[in-house]
Amino acid sequence: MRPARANGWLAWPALALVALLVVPSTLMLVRLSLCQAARGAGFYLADSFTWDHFTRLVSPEGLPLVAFTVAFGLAVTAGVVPLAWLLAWPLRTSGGMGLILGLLALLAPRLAGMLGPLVALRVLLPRGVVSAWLAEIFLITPYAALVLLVHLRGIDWTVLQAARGLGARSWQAVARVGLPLAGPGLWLAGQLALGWGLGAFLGPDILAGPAGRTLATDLHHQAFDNSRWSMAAAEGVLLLVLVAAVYLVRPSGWTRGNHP
Amino acid sequence: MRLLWTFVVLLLLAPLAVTLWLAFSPDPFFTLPVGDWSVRWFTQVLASDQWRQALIRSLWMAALSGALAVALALPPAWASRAGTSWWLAVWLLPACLPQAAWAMGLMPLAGALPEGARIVLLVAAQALLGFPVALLLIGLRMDSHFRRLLAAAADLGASPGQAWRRVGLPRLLPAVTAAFLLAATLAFHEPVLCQFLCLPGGETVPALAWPTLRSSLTPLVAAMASLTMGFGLAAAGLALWLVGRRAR
Repeated sequence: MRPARANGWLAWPALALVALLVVPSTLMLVRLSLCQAARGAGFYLADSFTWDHFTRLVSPEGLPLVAFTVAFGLAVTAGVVPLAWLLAWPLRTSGGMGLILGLLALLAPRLAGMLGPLVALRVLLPRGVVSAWLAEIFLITPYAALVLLVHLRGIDWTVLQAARGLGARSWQAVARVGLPLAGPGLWLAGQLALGWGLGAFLGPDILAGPAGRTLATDLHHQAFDNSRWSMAAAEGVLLLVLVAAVYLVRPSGWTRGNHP
Repeated sequence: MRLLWTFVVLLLLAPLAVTLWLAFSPDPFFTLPVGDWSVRWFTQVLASDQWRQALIRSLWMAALSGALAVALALPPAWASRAGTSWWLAVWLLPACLPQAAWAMGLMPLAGALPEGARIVLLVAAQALLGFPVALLLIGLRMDSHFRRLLAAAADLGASPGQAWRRVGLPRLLPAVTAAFLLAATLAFHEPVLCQFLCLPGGETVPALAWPTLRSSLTPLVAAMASLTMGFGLAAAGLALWLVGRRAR
């Protein structure tokens, strides 16, 4: 029985499902965003074309929403990355049951679902943008920590001992050796946090209210409350573009085993 | 550092404990019970047809999503090339997309489908969110040692089917079970796609809880949230135990 190293076709069923669910939905979103709103039933006016929805999004009327979404995403990232570092760092050299228990503690808030934490946060925190920010940090941090942990566990940490052996203090070894080695992992965790922060829906929708509307929550509002499907689709397209830009940016030379 | 780690983990776990505590409140207001505890909200939420149906629907849809995620993950886990960075980007794509935008794009497509097909669409989309986890867990188990065992069984005269049945599947079962449990857990809790794609009367638990969370919160939601937390943590704990047994 030969290992199927060259059997790339075995991945085709999964690839087909990803393509089937992502490509048509993205094309539909773009098509919908460029159509005039339907007057009455239906999602859009067939055979129509307009840039109006995008023009509105970059007009003085729409720009605050986009700016707030970007600022909110950046603020979430600023909160998530340090916490992810704090959570991932001690587990980088753990093994066996210690690692499993650490992972369970780390992932429990996410594996318990969103309903549990959101009920508590809704009861404990006043409505507002800060509460929505805290909720998003709470929801994203475990995943970011996991991504960072995977990177940190791929590094040979005896270099820290070597640095200390050469006279560096504990904090110097972490700051001068540990942090640069962790750089790509921190970048990836930051990308994840910013990508999800830009698309933040749960926290702003439940805890911020209209004052903290992001593109994702306004999209829901336009579609379900105003029946402006084309406007909602334009916001969705803009959100996709922003998130794609976040994931596509990568500092040159940052690959595994080739740390700056 | 360990102390700080423990503090941050406790901070992350605290809201779960608070929700569980609130669910045992005897009064209809959100007061944390100290002396008197009650299970009245659990009784009421399970007696409610709407909530019970949503819970049952969430559970079977999650089971289907988990099974689909595992079925999709098995072939690429065997083809080790499917772990390269290009493939990885493809597998992670659905999880990285802003869920609200993805769901918005799926809505017109779902709108053209009959109700049954719409549920299949939702199950498939949720399966894609758990698929990377399933691929990771199963891929880790199908390591070079696993492949050598299959080769050894073949060298000793076993047919490919026998080698898989007698050697491969028993070794793979814990990873497959863990992958199923984790993928199903992720689907069970998925809140955004179902919010956009579920029809009225066909909601899952997160979709049904949504209006209550947005406007007037009731202890019923705290009770249902506690139940879903229990399901999620039990499934995830079992999955990690299965993986941990291997680690030891």
